[in-house]
Amino acid sequence: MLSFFVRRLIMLLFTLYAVVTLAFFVMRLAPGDPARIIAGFDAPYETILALRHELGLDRPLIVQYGRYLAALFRGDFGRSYNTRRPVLEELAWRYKNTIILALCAVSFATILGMTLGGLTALRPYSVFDSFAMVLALLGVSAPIFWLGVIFMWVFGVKLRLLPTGGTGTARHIILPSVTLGLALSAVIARMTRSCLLECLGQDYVRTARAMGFAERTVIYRYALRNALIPVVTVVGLQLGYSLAGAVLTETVFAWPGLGRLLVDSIFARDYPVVQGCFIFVAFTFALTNFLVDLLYSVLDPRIRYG
Amino acid sequence: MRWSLLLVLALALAGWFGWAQQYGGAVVIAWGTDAVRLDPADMTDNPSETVLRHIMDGLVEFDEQLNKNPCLAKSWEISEDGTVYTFHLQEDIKFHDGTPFNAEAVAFNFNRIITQNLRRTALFQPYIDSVTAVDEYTVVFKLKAPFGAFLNHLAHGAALIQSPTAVQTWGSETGKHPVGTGPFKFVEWVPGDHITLEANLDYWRGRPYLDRIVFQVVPESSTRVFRLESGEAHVATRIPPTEVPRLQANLNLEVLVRQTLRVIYIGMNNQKSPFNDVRVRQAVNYAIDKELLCQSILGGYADPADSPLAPLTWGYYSTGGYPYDPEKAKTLLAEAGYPNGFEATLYTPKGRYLMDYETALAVQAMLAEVGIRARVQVMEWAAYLSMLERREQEMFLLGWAPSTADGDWVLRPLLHSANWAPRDNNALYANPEVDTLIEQGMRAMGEARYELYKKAQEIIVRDAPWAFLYVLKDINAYSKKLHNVQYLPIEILLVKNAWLG
Repeated sequence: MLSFFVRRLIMLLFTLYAVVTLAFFVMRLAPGDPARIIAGFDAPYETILALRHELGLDRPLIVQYGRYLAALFRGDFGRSYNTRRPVLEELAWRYKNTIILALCAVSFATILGMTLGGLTALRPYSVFDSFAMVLALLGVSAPIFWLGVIFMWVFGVKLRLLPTGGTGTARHIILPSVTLGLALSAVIARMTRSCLLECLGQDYVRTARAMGFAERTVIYRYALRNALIPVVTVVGLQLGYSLAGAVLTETVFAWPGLGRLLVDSIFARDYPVVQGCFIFVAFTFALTNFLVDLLYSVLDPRIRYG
Repeated sequence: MRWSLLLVLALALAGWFGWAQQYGGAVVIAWGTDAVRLDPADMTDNPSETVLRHIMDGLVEFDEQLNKNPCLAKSWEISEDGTVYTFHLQEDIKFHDGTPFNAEAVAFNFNRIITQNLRRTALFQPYIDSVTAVDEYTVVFKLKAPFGAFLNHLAHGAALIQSPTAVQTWGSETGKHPVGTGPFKFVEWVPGDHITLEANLDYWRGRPYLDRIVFQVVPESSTRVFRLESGEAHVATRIPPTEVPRLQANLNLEVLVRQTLRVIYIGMNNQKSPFNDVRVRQAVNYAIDKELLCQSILGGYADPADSPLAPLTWGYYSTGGYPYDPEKAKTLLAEAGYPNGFEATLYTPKGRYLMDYETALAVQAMLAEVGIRARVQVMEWAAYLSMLERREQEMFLLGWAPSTADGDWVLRPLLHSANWAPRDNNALYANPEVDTLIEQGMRAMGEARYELYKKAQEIIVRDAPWAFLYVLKDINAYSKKLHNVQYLPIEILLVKNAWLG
């Protein structure tokens, strides 16, 4: 178990290094001059030149890379070109918001998706099944942007039940997490349904039934448990996805999260912030994957890491 | 007795309808982008300037017509030769932190901006020789040379005065802790989410009506509109034109449409064939139906431009511009040796300015009518700016608004031959006569200066380095409960004198 941890940790470090390097060079390969963007639309050229020098952009690329890595090694993520605040300070509060949104959305999606998927698997090819699966299909294909605007209009403007976005109270999280969660739940529902259906047709389920176990026991202890492994994988991936890719939800609902910061920083060519975002996202993704791997062995005792 | 009763009744009624000024209440402003840094000398973005104009005062301030009125300076004298400005300051004013406002504080602010390398240093350092406090309430600016636009630079957001104590205390963190003399005090800033200000009850012009102002970041424009409709926000900025009819139909809302200083133009590479021929450039101007662009593409939220300056920019002169005349365009092209037109690339950003890409497509169709086959190429903004630096462009759509509201800050950076790309003269326009007029304009004052700019605009429009398209309008909307919202055409909306009825 310990060597598994060490192996994963070394892999994580390599992944992070690769991500940092990739982010560093890809951003600089893209055309665009951060100094020009930051200086503002009618800045005198002298301001732009001074900024280039201040940000170290007039030094060779390899020197900039070396300096960045050395600072990173000391735990210094640098400062945002644009706001001059430390990158960690910029990231921390957005990261927290993103985690909150992702956890709420994924919890909602998991509960809804597994309930729908489970119920439909128990009554396959019924009217309820078709109805739920069409709904799931809509959930996958409805653009988050459109869904979010509709929710906002109905619950925020017309009924005035919920705020149309922003942060502050627990009520603010409902609309964004439901919007994001609905899209995620569709995949989970379909996955739960097909895996559960498959397991219900397995020999061990027939054996369990033949041994006279109650149907509840058969479904929960034998079928569902085995069906969960692929579902957990999907949920883990969805969690990773919503940590990095909730940009649309964050934009529509004015939720100050990491995704929006990343996109804004890319457009502003704010390299240190972009790199910081990449590191945080990659780290979280790796961590989620790791937790999913651990969950496998809980669900299926045959899986052991050594 | 009866009269006073009537008066009381009238006042009560007025209050009921929200006519009379009332104290109290918090106003929420939903806008698209967060402020960057709340340090006037070190910020270049519009949201930061808007917030700071509520927290701080300048020596001079713009009104809605962009006149330069006294603010922290009661009065001033300008020496005969235009190089010495003496300001007499308001007395007994304190910054929010208790530091007294005086000539020393003014000198501190300007010495900081001209000696340090801040993001607005270039707006003052080239002109100011020294700033000295003569006595407690008199400050003298000595300029390196006469500069006709100097008062405009002092009315700029970068010249807002902040507390020297705060700057010394916070050092490099100054941009997070703004302290001024203004009607509102800084309370908190949650990046990417909101900025809160509260009333300065001791404001030297009397306390503001509102208790609090909250600037909320709502990046998506349809969400901003929802905020306003649901009553969560009192003001929503940058309204998309498509939403205007719906908002106008809402009896609780007011839609504010105001002309800005932003001129949108299509620059042509004056050094590259075929655009190095003035007849070709004039033909492009004749071929474009500006009126149609404004009405159909921009839905009326723009006015045709007839000069590089917008009508509200200081120094603007109405040249009449180029009427839509495709026949004349064809004749000019034939005279220039292109009876069958030519091919060219038209670069455009997308989503940077209202309907920028759509305008480029419409212009493409209009140019095709006279035989110019333009390829429209869209570029992401940062890449677009880098492309312009390389001087390879043929035609490019761009906008400019002088943040000083003065013609100098259009003509000099964009059209003086010393400022070719990578500076901002992306059209690579050069006319020695115009260069001289711009240089003389810097040194002249008042009416004489206006005459120089008038002359410059006549020549520039005749030379047609750009196709002059239109002057943009800004669309903002607010709740009818809110009164006395002010709009400066430098794209700044102020609620510092507003009240909730």
